[in-house]
Amino acid sequence: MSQKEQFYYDNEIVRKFALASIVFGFIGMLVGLWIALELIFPSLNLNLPFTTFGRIRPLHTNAVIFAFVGNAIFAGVYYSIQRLLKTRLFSDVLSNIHFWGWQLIILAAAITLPLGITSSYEYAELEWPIDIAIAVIWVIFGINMIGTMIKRREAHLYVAIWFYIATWVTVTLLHVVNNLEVPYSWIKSYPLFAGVQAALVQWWYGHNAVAFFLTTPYLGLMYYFLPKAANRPVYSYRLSIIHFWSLIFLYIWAGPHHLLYSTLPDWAQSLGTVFSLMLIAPSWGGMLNGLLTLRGAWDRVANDPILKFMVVAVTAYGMSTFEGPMLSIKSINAISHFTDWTIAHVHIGTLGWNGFLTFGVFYWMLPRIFGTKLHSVKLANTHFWIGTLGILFYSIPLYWAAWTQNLMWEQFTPDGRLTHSEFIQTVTQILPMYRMRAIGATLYFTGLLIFMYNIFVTMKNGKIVKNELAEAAPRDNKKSYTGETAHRLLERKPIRFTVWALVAVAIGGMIEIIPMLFVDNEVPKNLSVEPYTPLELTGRDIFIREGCVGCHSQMIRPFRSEVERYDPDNKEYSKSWEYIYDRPFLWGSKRTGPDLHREGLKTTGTESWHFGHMYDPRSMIGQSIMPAYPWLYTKTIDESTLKHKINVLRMLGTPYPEGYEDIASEDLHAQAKQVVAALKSQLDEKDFPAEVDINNLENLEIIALIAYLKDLGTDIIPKDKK
Amino acid sequence: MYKKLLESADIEWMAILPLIIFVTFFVVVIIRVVRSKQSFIDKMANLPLEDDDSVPASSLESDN
Ligand code: HEC
Repeated sequence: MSQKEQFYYDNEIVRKFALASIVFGFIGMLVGLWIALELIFPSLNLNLPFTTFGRIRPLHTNAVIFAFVGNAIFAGVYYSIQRLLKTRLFSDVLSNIHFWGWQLIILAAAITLPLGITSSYEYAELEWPIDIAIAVIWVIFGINMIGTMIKRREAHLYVAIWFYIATWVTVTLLHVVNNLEVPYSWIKSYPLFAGVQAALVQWWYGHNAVAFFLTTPYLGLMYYFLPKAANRPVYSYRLSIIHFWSLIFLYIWAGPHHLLYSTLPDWAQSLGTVFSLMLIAPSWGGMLNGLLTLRGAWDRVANDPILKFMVVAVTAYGMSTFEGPMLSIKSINAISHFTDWTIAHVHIGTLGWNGFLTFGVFYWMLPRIFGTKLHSVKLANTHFWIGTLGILFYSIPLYWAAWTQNLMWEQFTPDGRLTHSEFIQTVTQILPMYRMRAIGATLYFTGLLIFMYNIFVTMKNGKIVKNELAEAAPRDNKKSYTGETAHRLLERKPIRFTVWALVAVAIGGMIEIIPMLFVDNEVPKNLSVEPYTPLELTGRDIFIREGCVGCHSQMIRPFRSEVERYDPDNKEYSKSWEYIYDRPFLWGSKRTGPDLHREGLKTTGTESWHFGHMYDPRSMIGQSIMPAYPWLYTKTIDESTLKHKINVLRMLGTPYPEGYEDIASEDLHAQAKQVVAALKSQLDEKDFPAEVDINNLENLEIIALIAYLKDLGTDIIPKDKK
Repeated sequence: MYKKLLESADIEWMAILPLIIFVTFFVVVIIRVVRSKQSFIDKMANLPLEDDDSVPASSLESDN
């Protein structure tokens, strides 16, 4: 037995990340509660642009995913790898750069998203300068983690660490590929891919962001902290190895299930479904492995809130990984997609799996690094029950709402017309469910407050053990395998492992991306796709800024009920060629309002209708829950980047003629004048809101937005009929 | 150009290939896992539990 070495674990960095996670969890969930209430009381945005649903929904998702869960991952990873590898972290400096860098990124997100600076891609909303910062900080995290592995004292890498490495590798790959974009200003950009291709890449990312940010790192945490909390080894280490490899191998292939019934080739959609179904096996293997770890200790579970949190978390993991594959079956997806089902599904995952595991881990870990006991086990139990009720009250009403609303969307009268032809009827019907959901959210949030109180008192009672003394034997260097010293061989192991993980996910990634080549974008002979005019383009960028895509899809699926509702005159569903100039694509994932892909063909959608509707939706549709957008009626169009926009889009393939950037502004004003003329012919002067400057109408943002809405879907009409 | 080429080719294999790759991969993993030594598996499973007794509470250091 060799001499033991003494060293110190860095607990301070763990404390920092954990605190950040708790504080941002509070903010992120508060914003979540707020937007849930905005759907019931649309005026809750207080008439401010910064707090409208479209802008702060991404604030909520980014805050809970990257700030709450993200910081919790870093806290848990840094706590566990030091102990699993029997060494201090690689570099205190890198740890701190990682910490402060990540918080700065969160701050940047918290500022830019309410300002409407967004790429509009779900979970990848942040714009290019922040994307670069994320890449840099993420690499620093990687260096720090792999560096720690290289200086480790323990020869072997426990399975939790495999999950951490896979997380790091895959998130790097996803982040880079999905954020390929060309800046047109110091803060804004257009994406490299357009239309269907863009959708495929984005959902390859979106799916795997869930897989490799919300799942694999948390599985790593489960494999470390569950045995710790239960004080017994994992049920089957063999199973955990199989769990790991099959999960990371399969997960990355399943992304096309987000695009069923879209214009993706059939076989690619089917592949997505098959791989999604196969995912059930490893996921459930993992869940059972977690639950069976507690076999023979169930009496302890009854008394220990930490174990209870973990059991519900692992069960929620099992439930959502069963439901996910089910949702990728086409016939079920036809019902669930675009409804609140998706929202319910992700909240089983986030509130149950991520939230509860975080609570369990923090209740277990934080008292330890503060050298004390948890302040109140009773309060933790209360938290557990309130939180569990919260999850139920959150999700069950939403499943109900989804089912109800979908049935209403599809219902026809005997003489073949839509029973609920007004979309708003289907919204009003589910509002009671939205109220229940808000109650569920409030319960969960109350639990969070109890948690925070309990943890903060615990911290006050104890004192942080910034550097915790530990000892372990140095890594065994004596044995020599292949002529090379064992030392060097082992040093290379983490790197070799990293490379293998990369190979596994890259194969899957390629197989997913290759179908892009087969998407048929060919425009039919008698039709043509007009690039957006400068005014429409401006309107589209306003649409993006306001986050309208958070409530409105632009993807009519090939169902009778959809073409009947959204394109009653032509009965055409959405075709892939219609999107070829869409940068970014705006298909959306949730229809809180109606699909807008053929909005321009709506005969009732006159200039004045939109003008009145956007100013105050309830003046047109009494029960509407859409926010009002009065600021569009005073803000003037920003033309400063118009030239760059045209240039960037042309470079990416939109056929604007050479030199068009110089006359784009003229074109913009010519078209604005037409919209204004139409508006004035439909409205009396006294009908304009008082704050609107009638002489300056053509420069107002609302004019651009109307031009965009009026253009939507018009390419489906043959030129000679327009 | 590449599109024309790909379209003319029979692409059904594209759907089969991933399955074959995965099944092969899965079988290799299973074989390796089944063949690993029980003593090694036990050691690995117990790794997280090792450090608990290594630090007597009295040696906890605050501020350093
Ligand atoms: C909170 C969700 C929400 C947001 C955000 C939202 N809408 Fe709506 N929208 C709705 C709902 C619900 C309706 C249906 C009731 C109505 O017409 O007001 C609707 C209806 C519409 C309609 C009428 C569609 C039709 O054919 O009847 C248009 C156009 C529209 N929205 C445009 C926008 C634009 C542009 C934005 C962004 C500036 C936006 N919406 C943001 C919820 C939303």
